[in-house]
Amino acid sequence: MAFDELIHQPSRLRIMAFLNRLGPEAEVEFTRLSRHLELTEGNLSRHLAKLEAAGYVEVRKGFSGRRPRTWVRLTGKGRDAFRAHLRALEAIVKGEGNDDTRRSAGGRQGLRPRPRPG
Amino acid sequence: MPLPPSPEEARRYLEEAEKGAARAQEALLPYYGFWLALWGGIYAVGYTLVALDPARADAAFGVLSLLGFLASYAIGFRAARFFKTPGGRALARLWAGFALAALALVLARSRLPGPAFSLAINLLVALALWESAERIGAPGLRAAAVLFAFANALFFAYYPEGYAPFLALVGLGSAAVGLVWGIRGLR
Repeated sequence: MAFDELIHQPSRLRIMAFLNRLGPEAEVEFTRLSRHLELTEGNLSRHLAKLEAAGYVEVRKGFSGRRPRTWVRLTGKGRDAFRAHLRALEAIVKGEGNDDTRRSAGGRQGLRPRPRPG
Repeated sequence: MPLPPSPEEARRYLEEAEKGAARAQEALLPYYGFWLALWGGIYAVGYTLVALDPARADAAFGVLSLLGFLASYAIGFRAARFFKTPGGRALARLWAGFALAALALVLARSRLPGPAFSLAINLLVALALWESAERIGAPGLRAAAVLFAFANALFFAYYPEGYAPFLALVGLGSAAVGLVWGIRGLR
């Protein structure tokens, strides 16, 4: 069971779900990601920085024609972590949350996650 | 010490993840939608011409198809400005292969009577749609490809006079669905 506090934050959970759905190796342009997830660019940047620091996403600067663009991609490590996190949530829903889940969640710093807008 | 969420909270978080995944699908929807609307429109116009004026239909359909291919790749390039997916690259290669196969059939056109040529092209379309469904993970499209192939074969064999009107209607329906997807995806 791999309950992940970093992914658990609702905006980051949506970012990871979005990137995961696009498929392995897929990249999305930063402003599009911000638009589709209805996150401000500043807010998205902050969440991506945390996910990037954990090695869950890769942020790449590039060009499309002459326009500078920033591309975001889910890494293999991020995909594994996201899937494991979903499995942990499903286990909790099914009432299978066991000591491992509690240890994994309890072993991290931070408050109990609560849904927050944005 | 922080605790994992309650089952109710966990359910809510799973729904949140579902929403994120759905947004990814919606993000690509306008591109698929306008592509479908484009080819639906070409089929509707082309097969209406085949039904009404078969002698002139060939040239008009040929020009429409050529423009359709150019427009399809323009849609693909537009999508690639914002989304780079292995599925998208695979689709570009797949439909380039389809275009070559269709071109080969055009070269053999003089030996193929009109309906037989249409059937051959449309079976190729069905195969390309099936393969596209595999690459972008769209089971609905796979089912549509099978239906399209069998409907083509059945009309061709048992109701040839209804073949062109049937395909014009398929085109019209596809154009309508494609426009709805496209507009919904742009919101």
